[in-house]
This record gives sequence, C-alpha cells and structure tokens, in this order.
Amino acid sequence: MTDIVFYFQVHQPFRLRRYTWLDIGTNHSYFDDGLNEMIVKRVAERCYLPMNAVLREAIERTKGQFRCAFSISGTVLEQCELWAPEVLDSFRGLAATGAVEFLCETRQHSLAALEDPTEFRAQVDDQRALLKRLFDVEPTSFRNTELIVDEQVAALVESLGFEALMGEGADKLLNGRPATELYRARGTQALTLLLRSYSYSDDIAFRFSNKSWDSYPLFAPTFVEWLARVPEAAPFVGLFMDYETFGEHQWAETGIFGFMRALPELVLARPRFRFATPTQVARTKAPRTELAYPRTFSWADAERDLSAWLGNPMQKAAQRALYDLAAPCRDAAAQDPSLYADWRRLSTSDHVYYMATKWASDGDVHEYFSPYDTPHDAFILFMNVIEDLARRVRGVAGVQSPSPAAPSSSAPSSSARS
Amino acid sequence: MRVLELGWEFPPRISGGLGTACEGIVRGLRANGVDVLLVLPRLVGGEEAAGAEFRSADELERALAGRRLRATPTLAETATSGALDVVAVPAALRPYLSAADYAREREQVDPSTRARANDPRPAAAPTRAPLVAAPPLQGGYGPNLAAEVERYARVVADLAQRELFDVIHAHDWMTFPAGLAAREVSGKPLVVHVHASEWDRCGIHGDPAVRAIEAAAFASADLVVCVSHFTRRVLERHYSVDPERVRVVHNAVRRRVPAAGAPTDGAPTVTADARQPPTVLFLGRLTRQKGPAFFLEAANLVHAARPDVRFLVAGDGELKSSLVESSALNGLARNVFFTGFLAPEDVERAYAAADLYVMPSVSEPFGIAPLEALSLDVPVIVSRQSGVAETLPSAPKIDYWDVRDLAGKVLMLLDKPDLCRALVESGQRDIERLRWETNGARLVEVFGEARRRAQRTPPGRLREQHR
Repeated sequence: MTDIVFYFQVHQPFRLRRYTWLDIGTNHSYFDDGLNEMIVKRVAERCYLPMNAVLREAIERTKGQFRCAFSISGTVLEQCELWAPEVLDSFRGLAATGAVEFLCETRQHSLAALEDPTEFRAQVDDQRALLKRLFDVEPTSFRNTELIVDEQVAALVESLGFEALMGEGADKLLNGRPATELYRARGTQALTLLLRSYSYSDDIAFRFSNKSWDSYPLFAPTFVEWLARVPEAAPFVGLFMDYETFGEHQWAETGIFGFMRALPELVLARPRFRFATPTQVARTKAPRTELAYPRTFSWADAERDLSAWLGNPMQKAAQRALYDLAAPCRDAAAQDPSLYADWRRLSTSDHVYYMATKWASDGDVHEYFSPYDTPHDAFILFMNVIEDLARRVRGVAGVQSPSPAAPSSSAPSSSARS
Repeated sequence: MRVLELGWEFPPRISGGLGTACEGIVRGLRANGVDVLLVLPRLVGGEEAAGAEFRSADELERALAGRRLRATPTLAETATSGALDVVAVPAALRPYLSAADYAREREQVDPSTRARANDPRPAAAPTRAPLVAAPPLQGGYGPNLAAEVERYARVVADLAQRELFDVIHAHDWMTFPAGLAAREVSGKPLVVHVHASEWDRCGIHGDPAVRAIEAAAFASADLVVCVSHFTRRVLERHYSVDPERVRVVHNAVRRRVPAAGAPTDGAPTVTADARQPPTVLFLGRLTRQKGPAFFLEAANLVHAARPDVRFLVAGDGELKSSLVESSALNGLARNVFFTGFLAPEDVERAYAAADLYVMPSVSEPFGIAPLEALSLDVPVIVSRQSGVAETLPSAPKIDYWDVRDLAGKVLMLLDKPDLCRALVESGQRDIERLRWETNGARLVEVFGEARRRAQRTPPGRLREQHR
C-alpha cells in the first residue's frame, strides 16, 4: 500500500510599506496594511475559499478517504483574522471532517531554526497555541520554513516532541535513493522524515499551465498513470506544494480546480493507493534508512539550498542585523510588547527573499513574489526599518542593544552555524 | 549693453546646478545694468514656469514674423537696472539629457511640436547648410537629440536676425551650435560659458560627437568662460584650448532668504537627536563623476576606527545597486543609509541630520552643494578636483582617490566639534565673497573684451582660421 500524502503550504507575509530614511526615528509603522489586506482578500477569493470547497467536497464524496495536510503560517492566520475571517471558518470546516491534519511551523514563517534556537522554540510554541485557539488541534508533525532541513534542524524538531518532519527530496541529498522511502535524519531517533517527490509535485505546482511543456495539458487520469509507476513497495508519495498554486499561481482558467476535483476518485480506484496525512504515515510505517545531511536543504530554486534567502551580501547583512536584535527585542517585550511583535513580523523569511539577486529563471519567480522594484530597494527599506527598531530598543531602559556595528556582526549569517 | 543669453531652465522649476547658475548669472548681469534677452528651450506640455510669460509654438512663429517679445520681468525685485526679455523656444532639450530620457520626453511633446520637429523645412527659415562642422551625434544620444540641437540652433538663428544685441552668451554644449548660428547671422561676438564638459561627465568614455561640438565651439568662440581654474585646466588638457582665450569667472551663491514660516535663526528644521551617532553626508547623483564609490571606501576605513559613525548617501543614479551591494559586503549595512532622490525640502533635512558633508567628486567644474552645506552650518570636505575648492580657502581638501586622507580628515573633524564650528564660520565668510553681482561685473568685462576682439577679427576669418 502506497500512501499519497498531499501537504499544502499556506502563507502570506506582512509586507513592508515604502519606509524611507526620512521615516527613521519619526514613524514606527512599518507594514503596508492596505497592500496586505488587498492581497489576502484577493488570494482568499481566488484560492483559499474555492480550493477549500473543492477539498471539502472531495472528503465528503469519498467519505473521508481523501485526506490531506496543511501548514498555515501564523502571519496568514493573523491576516485572515483581520481581513478575511471567512477563510478561518472554511478551514474550521475542513478541520471538523477529521480528514485534514494541521502541521506545525514557526509562527512567523521565519528562518529562526538556522539562527536562534530560543526564538525558534518560542515561535513554534506560539504557532501551537494559535492552532489550538483557532482550530482546536494539537499538531504532531512539523514543517520548517521552505522545507529547510539539516541534521541540527531535525534534532531541534525532535526535541520539541514531533513525530514527523517534512523535507525536500533533493537529488543531491538522496544520491539516487528514492524520495518515496521513509527516512530518519542522522542524529534523530523517533522522527520520521517525509520527503517531497518534487517531480510529481511540480507537475501540478509549476508545469500544469505551461503550454511549452510536452505533457500539456495535463489531465488527472494521466497524472494517476504516472503515480502508478512508483514501485509497489514504496511507502508513500509526497505531493507538497504552495496552496496558492490553486487559483493564484495557476489561475482557475487553467483547469487546476477541475484537475483536483477529478483526482481523488481516480487515485482511490487503484487498490494500491490510499490517501494519508504525515502523522498517519509516521504511525503506521517505520523508516528503515538513516539519512546523512551533507548540508542544509530547502525546496527553493534549482539549488535546493539557502541561496534564495541568504545568497548575497545584502541578505546576509540583513539577516545578521535582524537576529542581533532578537534577544534585545525579547528582553524589551515586558516594557514594550510592540518591539517584539514588530521584530517577529520582520523575521518572516519573505523579507530577505525579496533581496535575492539571482537573475536566471529563478529570478523571475522571486520577482513575481516581490512587492519592490529591485532587490536593492527591498534591502534599503528593510535596513531603514531595522535602524528604527534598533533606536526604539535603545530607548527602552535597561535593555542592552548591540552596537550598530560590533565587529562580529559583519560575519555572514549562513556561515555562523556551518 | 544687451546680451543674447542662451540659458537653461527658470525658477521655480530648476532641476540642477546649471539652471541655478544661469538664473544667478542673469541676476548678476542685470544688477550691472545689462539688458538680457534670455532664450530658454522649453518642453511643450511640460510644467508651467511661474512668472515668465511663455509662448506656444504658434505664438513664437508669429513673434518671429516681426513682433518683439517682451515677458514680465520676474527678477525685477532684485534688479536695480537692466531689462529682461524671455523667449521660450519649444524644444525637447534640457540639461543632463541622456538617450533614454530623450526618447521618453519626445513622447510627451505635443503634436504640434512633433509635427514641427519632423518637418524638414523649418517654419521660418530657409534651408541652410549645417551650422556646425561636427560629425553626427552617435552612441548614447542618438540621432533625434542631434536633430533637436540642430533645430534649436535654427530657431535661435531666426530670432537673432530679428533682435538687437551686442554679444551672445551660450551655456554648455547643447546651446553651442545655437550660439555659433546666432553669431553667423548677426556678426556679434560669441562667449561660450562652460559649466561642465563631456570630459567632466564621462572622462574618456564621453560621446565623441558631443566632444566635437564642444571643441568646435571652444575653437571659434571669441572668448571661453570657465566656472573655475579646474575647468580651465580640463579645457587646456583635454580640448587643447588656447589659455589666452579662456577667462575664469567663479559661480556665486544666492543669499539665503528664510521662507515665510521657516525658522529665521537659521536653525535646521529637524533638530538632530543628540543621542544619535555622528552622520557623514554624501549628496549628489550616484554617478562616476560625483565619486560615491570613494565615499564608501573611506566609510570603510572610518568604520574600522569608529563603528558608531553613520553615512548618509543621498541621491539616485546608475551606481546605486553596486554601492548598496558593496556596503553590505563590507559590513556597513547598518551604517550606510540610502535615501534615493530627495525633494528640495528633504535635502535640507539631510543637511540637518549631517555632522559633516563630503564632496569627493572626480571632476566637478564647480559644485554648489558645499556652499549650501556651509550656509546650513555643516562643515565640508571637498575634493581638489572641483572648482568650488578654489573658492573655499579654509575648507579641508582631499584628492578624490585618496580615501585614506579622506577617512583621516573625517575622523579628525568628528572628534573636534570646535574645529568644525570654526570651519563653518570661515567657510561662511568665504561664501560672503561669492556674489552674483560680482560675477556679473566680471562677465561685463569679458563681454567688452570679446567685442573688442571681434572688431579686430571678423567672425568669418576667425572660423576659417580654425578649420
């Protein structure tokens, strides 16, 4: 029996407004509420609401045999509470079916796992509390931001009591081993690693509407034929993708909703397949192989590494400046909670993603997602905000703020832990 | 004396140093009793310039048919004598035009002007041979800008046939062909005024066609005025101009008149927070000519000694991306702030936030910004490769490439507030001497000399001599 595991990532960042040098010291409002509201409402209408309806119908039609998992960042949940509460109701409806698993992640969709274990634990705890409050669920599986995983991250996640961890089935990690096998990251004992089958996943997430793709147009029966090529003994197939794929990246006109409507019954028509959620897989099947991580992997870009977020000097400098303020902002939270709240929103990984300067095909993807004119503008704006936040922290009595340029602070952040 | 002034821009819409200087020059000439006929290229469909009575293309053509133009003299409040006539010639020209700008702006020109520009037969002039013996414009500027400069020259020549004046005064290369054309039809002497040469802007990468236009004008003008000895040397070295025909007249700076409602004691509108770390300011276009990369190199050295110092890079330009990246690479991300282009009121805020202003220009014919900084009580360090350095004997000076010297002087001044105050005071005394009235008096002398020279050497012979 091969488990088909759908996991959908739902996320929106709090984008920054055009915060210039003139704003530093005078204006402490960093986020573009108008833009963020507009985008979350648009995505709710085009993606979250219609796709939730498609999945709910599939669960009801198949009497709970169709199953899937979500990881919903705390930032998009906050935005839905503020501007699109009907989306939360819709997810509550899915939670009530019992066929949907909610994964845990860092509440701010951050890179804290790489930088600051204390901050990482705090954001995970907050996300657990938020999922409990909004959906009355207690997550048992974990996905780290952008599927960023290495042995240290895996050990950190295991120490927080999770049973399964989502990862990328990168070629350079697996070296020919199948992504459909269950693994355990070296250094962990009881954490099941579920890797993404990127080829199957990207057929839906990226290639679906590509008219120059030789398999265009893709219909559900063909896709199930392809799935059936997975060896009978394969424990699972990981179909992990951004939820915004449905209706936002791939517009409704491409037929993506029809594809997903047709898929469940076609999969279930084959006795070797069933749908399962990550925790279900972890509890019914045991990993047989230990996997060594030679470096940190992610699901981004062709490199499957950290270069989308920490690939150039601007990104490294911004990340360093941000995390140098983490502890001071946490310490200042007792006197002024807004400092830590603002810091948290700045820790969302999208902010450094916008500063990427990769100009190949991946650069187009970055540009598609960025609200700024250039990566350099994104950097200038972010550093202006960091400066204002640092001044506010210094203004809070008794909090030790790092000097604006302690010599160690220029060390690239990604090398800090390698 | 009446001068045909081929100038640029007009208050309140002045985009750069050239417009500011031309306005001051007209002011200074009139203060010395000179009548000025000011001809300005003006974008049709662009913003209205307050005060001057601009005319449409049609009106201009009617006027060229014989009527004398006379605009409201808007500078009268400071002029003791000297009449001002203003003629706006519809033309898609403005200072610092680049190829991309030009293509964009042609789109904005209204249909009547476009029709006129495309008409090979100028409306009020018979077809003539090319006015300037220079190769066609190529490279960055493109053929359309060349045509526009040529068309502007023809319109000015038509005007010159119908107007009475004693001397022609042209400012920078786009007006040089017009100045030569006006001299040809009128026989009056031509004085070309150099605010910035193609060498200053681009070094060896300059457009050969622009350089050829400049060289032709320098060779056949009756006299060449430079805004500094620095520029005179550039002309001697890079254009082989005979020093005997060059006169230096420094720019001046207008006395600051506090605007209504503004603080009258000269205090900055934004008071610097005493707890904020010291800030060093660069202000200018982010181009090679202004030397921002040297500013950041020096910032690196300053940072190593004083990690608390901040650097403010105000302005925009094609070097922005590389400057931002290098600041991040060198660990200056939290110390260097990029403002982008600043509106005039925000420029004042930048000065107000600064403890020190640095102008590390690679080649700056004059450079008025240090004078603005000093008048706002900000001490300055200027490069020796600038004209303004000649007018500020007391200001610390550096060679733009000597970033160690620059860093050392920055550190020294940041450590010595008393010295900074003394430098501001002596700099402000230097500025007192730079008056447009004095500049105008000097230009009157140059014009008189040019008229005497023209009487000795008829223009036709002079031009042949330089072929």
